[in-house]
Amino acid sequence: MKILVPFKSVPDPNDATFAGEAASASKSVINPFDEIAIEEALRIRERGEATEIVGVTIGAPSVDEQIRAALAMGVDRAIRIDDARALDPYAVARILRAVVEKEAPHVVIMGKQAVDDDSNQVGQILAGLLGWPQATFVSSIEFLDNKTRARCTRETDAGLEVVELDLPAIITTDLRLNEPRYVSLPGLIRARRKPIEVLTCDQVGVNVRPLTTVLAVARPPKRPAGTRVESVEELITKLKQEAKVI
Amino acid sequence: MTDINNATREVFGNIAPWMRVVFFIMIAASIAVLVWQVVSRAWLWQKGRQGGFERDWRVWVQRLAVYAAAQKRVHKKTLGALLHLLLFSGFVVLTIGTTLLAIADDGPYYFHHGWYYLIYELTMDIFGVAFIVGCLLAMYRRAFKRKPSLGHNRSDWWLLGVLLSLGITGFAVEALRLHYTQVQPGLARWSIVGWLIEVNLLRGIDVATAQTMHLAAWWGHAILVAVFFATIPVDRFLHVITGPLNIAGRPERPMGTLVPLNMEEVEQTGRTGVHRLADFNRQQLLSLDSCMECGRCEDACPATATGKPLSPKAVVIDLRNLMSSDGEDVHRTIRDETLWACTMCQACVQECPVLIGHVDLISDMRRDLIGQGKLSGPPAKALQQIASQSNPYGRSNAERLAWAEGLEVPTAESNPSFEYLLWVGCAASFDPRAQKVARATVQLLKNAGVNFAVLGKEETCTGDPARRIGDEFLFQQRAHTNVETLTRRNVKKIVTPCPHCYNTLKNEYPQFGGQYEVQHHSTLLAELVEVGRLSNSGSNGDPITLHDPCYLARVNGEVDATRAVVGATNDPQYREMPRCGKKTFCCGAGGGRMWFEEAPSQRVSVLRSQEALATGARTLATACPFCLNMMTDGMAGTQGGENVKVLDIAEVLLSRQTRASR
Repeated sequence: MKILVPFKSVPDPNDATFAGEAASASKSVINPFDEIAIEEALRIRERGEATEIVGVTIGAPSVDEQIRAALAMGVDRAIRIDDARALDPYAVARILRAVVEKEAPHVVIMGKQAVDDDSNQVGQILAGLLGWPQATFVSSIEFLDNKTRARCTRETDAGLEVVELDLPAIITTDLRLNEPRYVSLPGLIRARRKPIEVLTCDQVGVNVRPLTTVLAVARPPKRPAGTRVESVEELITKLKQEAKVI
Repeated sequence: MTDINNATREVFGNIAPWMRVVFFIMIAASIAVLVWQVVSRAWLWQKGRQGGFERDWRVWVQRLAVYAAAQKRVHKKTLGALLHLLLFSGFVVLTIGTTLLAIADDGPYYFHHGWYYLIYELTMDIFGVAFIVGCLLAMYRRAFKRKPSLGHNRSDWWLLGVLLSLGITGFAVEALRLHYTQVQPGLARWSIVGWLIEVNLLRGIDVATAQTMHLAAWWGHAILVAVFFATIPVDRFLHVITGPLNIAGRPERPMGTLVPLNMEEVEQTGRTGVHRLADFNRQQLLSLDSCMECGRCEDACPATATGKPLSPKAVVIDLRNLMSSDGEDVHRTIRDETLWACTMCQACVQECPVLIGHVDLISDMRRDLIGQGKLSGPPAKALQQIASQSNPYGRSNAERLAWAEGLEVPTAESNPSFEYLLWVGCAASFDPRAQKVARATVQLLKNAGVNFAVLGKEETCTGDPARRIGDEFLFQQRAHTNVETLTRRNVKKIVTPCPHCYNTLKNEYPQFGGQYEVQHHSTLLAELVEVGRLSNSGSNGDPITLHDPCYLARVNGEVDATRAVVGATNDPQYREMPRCGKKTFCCGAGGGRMWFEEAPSQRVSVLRSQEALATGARTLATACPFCLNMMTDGMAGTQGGENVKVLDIAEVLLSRQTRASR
């Protein structure tokens, strides 16, 4: 079985600051949800159900650092679609469709959303474009019937939903699926020997342009500091008179 | 009148020349078996990486004297220690005695007579008795006490049986010889045991019968000697050879120091740490064979005590079995959880009579797990944050001085002529509870008029957790950065409230060119009290006890200053826990365990809290932010613990400053 894992390079959420229109950080990392997707692909391979894991990302040469991190985690090889533009989910999904058609994976596993724009659309649009079944917000994956079907647990607001779908399929990962492994410096050095294939949109045969434009990015207003109340009575008074919630 | 000068004994008196030849061939064959067995083990050791041995012969001599001859690590008030002393002394004296006799008999000068001979006989008899008593006690211990950590194999009974029979037949031979050679009583008395047997049991037997019996007993003894040599390489008895080898050969290094890895080497080999058995060095492989399975390491291990899947003894035995079966992959025999369970408290290393370095073995295998990406979850997060934020708490390093708000703490920038650099450490910088320790320390230093400064946001994690968890290169990155900062700020003296920072700065940074005079805050505070720059108004009468941090007490031997700071000597209410001082018991946070998730039933801190509670103490003082954190949790999770205050020694001392200076 071959697994394709699309991943995105995002500003380090531990270290992000807002400057002008977009979040920036001194350092970029693999989108944490995509990291979970990579980890899951590795675990599927480790239990003997997959033979190859291919990573794919879109960006300028600077994202090679995150590609190395993915390769160091254990991804076999990676593709970078060389495009430095700020693309929207539809454009990304169209590029990924071209990559899926080129690589012909049995399953695509990717994060449910990226932590920089929180769009949560690429997986769904990609499934739509390919006409594949999808399981989103997944917290467990199990392959059935000689790996022709997958049973996934989805985390929904109403509770856990178990779905079965035919492969090939798109699976998007939620937080509780796994805890990604730690990559050390020697791991990164060893990953230098693994191949990164750089392709342009032209080479994979798509021509995209963003359909949406970001107009402004603003910080949420600072929350005022809380106050400590002395007694239950005071709390009730405050809830009634100031917060007006009871 | 006994003629002392002519007193001697016959050697091989009753043994025909052809029998002597048979005897020598038999002994030679059994020694050949012994040598062959040892050489075949040594063949396995040399499959390891080259080197690893101590090279300084003076260290060998000193260690052999202390740990092999004087058996320093064996002494304890236990039956096992007593019987080992008896067996060991008997074994050594009898071996030396027999060798001397052989030298006298075969050498050019026969010195085996006169007073020398008589004292020789007496000494041999006394130690022969010691040897037999040792064997019997060992059998009693194996039959009735059955300490689980000792382990019980059939070969143990075989070995003890051989040793006991050797002792008994030895005395039988002596008694029969005294009888048939008709030694005068005045001389025979010196062979006290043989003489007593002769007087009480053999008097009725005629000389010819005694001579025949002597021949039979002699052959019995001789065959047992041959069996004994061939038995030495069997199981745990091999330690009589490998134990001294490891004692001499183990490299000399401060206990709290791990060996650096070299990046070029890693790039060449593609390996970090130990994945295959042959990735250990030769000394480490030898050390596996030096284990006699006494179980002292296991008895001291906090992981074993809390039901985690780690026993330091089992690690050694499992690796040895892997070596014997010519196996390769260490992770097939030792599970990842076993390696992660270690707190690196060094209690096993401190206990081991033959100086096995369990923590080094575990650390080397952890390094491989890290290299292979086998770590995930909270400890992985801590390492990522050391890499990205320079501290394991994941806070922005810009907030490093948040703990100092309102205290006007001098920084290296504002006070470049400082005498002491206060290395606050990540815990005291970011952990809300430990921040109070940093504040208390600063208040005390200010009260005492110490000229100090902090690095502020220039301070970063020492890398200790990274190194212990197994990410050597993350550690080295931190070490290089910090050494660079400390050099730039012209730092000579460092004081820190964290024993882990203390150990790393003091013992590990010299590996990267950082040489400083490093003190734990306990020693500086004790000095300041001693010279009267800080007061200590004494306790408020509450019973108090002290939890010694492993990396302060066991690893760096510092146990007096902490006691001086809490005024232990003149406080009638001061209590000591059973495991205290250098023989302290871990809180559970070491070895990076601070960042691992732990089942409540497996918390070391709960065990330790129970021990502290049993002293009746109402205050538990400690001197480490991690111990403070763990013991606070431990007390909260222990019946009766909610009434115990867990404080750092600096907080205790601050509360005892006279009001005016507080």
